[in-house]
Amino acid sequence: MKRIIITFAALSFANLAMADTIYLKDGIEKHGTVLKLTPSVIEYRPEGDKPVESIPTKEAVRIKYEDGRSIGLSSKDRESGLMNKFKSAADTQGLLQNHLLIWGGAHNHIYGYRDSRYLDQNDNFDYIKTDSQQMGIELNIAGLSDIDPAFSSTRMGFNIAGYRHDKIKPRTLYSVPLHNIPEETVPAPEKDAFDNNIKWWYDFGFFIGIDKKVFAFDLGLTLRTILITEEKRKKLRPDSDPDAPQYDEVDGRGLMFDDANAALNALLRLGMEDRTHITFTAFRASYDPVYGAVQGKVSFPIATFFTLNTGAYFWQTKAAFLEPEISLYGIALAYKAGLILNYRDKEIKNLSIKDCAFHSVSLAYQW
Amino acid sequence: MHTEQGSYNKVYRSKEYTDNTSTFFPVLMQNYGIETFIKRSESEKAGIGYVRTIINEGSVYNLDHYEVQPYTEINIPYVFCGTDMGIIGLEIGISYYLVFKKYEGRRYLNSDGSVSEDDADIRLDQKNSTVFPNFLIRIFPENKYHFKLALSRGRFNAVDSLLTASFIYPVKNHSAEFFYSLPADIPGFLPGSNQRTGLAYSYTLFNVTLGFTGSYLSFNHAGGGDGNMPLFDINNFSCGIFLEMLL
Repeated sequence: MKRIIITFAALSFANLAMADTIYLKDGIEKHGTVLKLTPSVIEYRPEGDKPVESIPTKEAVRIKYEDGRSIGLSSKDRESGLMNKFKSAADTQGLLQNHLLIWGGAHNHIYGYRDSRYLDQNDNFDYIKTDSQQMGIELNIAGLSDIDPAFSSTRMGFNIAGYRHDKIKPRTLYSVPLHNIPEETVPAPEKDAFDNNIKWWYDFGFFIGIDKKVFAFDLGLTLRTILITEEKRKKLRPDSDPDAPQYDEVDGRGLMFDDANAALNALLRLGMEDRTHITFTAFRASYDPVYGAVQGKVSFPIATFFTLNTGAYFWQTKAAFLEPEISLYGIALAYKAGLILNYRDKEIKNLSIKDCAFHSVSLAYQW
Repeated sequence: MHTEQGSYNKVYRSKEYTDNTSTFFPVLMQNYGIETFIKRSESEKAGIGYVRTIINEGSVYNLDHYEVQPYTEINIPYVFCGTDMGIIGLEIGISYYLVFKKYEGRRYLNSDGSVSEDDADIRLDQKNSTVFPNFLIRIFPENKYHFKLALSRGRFNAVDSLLTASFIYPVKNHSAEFFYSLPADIPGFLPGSNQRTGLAYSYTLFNVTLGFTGSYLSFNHAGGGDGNMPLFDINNFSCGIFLEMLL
């Protein structure tokens, strides 16, 4: 008998622990399952499967749900509850993990041109493709409390990214004498030789930022350089007629700077890092220095070791990609595959879908 | 899940009138969409959605040539995540705006001057396809009167209602909504959208909500230009139904 009573009591207390609790202003507690909460009334089913009852919301001060959540119902609680949530989110630190990321990928580099052999002048685009590769490394050190406790949520780091494409092989377009269209070569040899040579893009960036529970923000500077290999160049002959200039082809100057500039880099994460969140980056993370320096990515953690990222390039091209990621013991391996939807170049249109595909692999270590 | 049917009003300059006035011809436009989300906790909401807008092909004779509207499909898959704090909800994500068009075969010159033609096919329109962030902001709780501002979220049409502001007033199981679509157009970033004004009514029973919408095209912006239309032209109106389920 004693065993039965103890079992019944245990079950009753267990049931109590599983029920919601409504705390009233006069100190009474109501237990049951809250079915509906409106500004005017609380409907709940008392424990023991009794008929649904109603309580005016103004008579209650708090509801504690069986899953541990708690809602304040006094006007003071409601007002401060929302403000407290914002303050708590701003004060609580993020995961503050150090992060090393290495990535590399490949896709077609496209040279677009107009071909007058197509009769529709609004749709006479064609293109030449050549191979290109990109790679990069990024290091992020978080939690600088050793320097000063005020920097406990701070992080800083640097990244280096590179991109190269092969020489664009010239294509000869046939003549159409009946329509006065001469034979031509694209890219035109007499154009700036910089358009046709092997090119490298190198970006060097450094940044500093804060890592909080529901957001992170980094800001920095990226120095961008473009290098070319000049293999040959044309030199005017000394005895050349000014009206009909003639050139000799001589050796080029080798590796040269083509252009250099600086750009802001940034990272903005909204949401908790170990939950579904969205990240916007400019010249950060596994980016493409020529086709996708500004990107956005929504991360869906499916399981402890698997995350599915879906993202897009916003600049320099418009692209869509999927990036499944597997992570174990702090090591994350991700494969990004996508399609460029819009090159945002008036000379590049009507590409075959398979020529617009790109892919890259990244390896990250967090500690 | 939602669906809507109306007209896409293709704008062109009429050569039949001396003032070259902008006018339009209508083709059938249909819209379908579905959106689902998971809410794990107050601070974590994640979801996906898909909207498909189909514009039928059509043409009209304009004095000496045909004005053509090719068959066009706009597909917008999208993802989003966000937080719902009761009095305010904030969600942000990414939308992929994919435009597929039927292209006629390209005619080209051979070296002997003869003309050949490629095959016609439906291809991705790489000039008008794009990606952009989407968002939804809700002010005031869902079960009271509340305001929503949404870009490429909820019940929307790829041509008519990409950016929509709405006021929803629920009364017991009934809900009335007034919505206003804005002609969002940021070149190179956001595709153009028409301006529509509409009303919606829905009824909720248990966890299922069934609703009806009706709207009026108040400004034709995405149909190739700003066309002049009669005020009460039947082609300005569209209607639709939607179904929501809480699982």
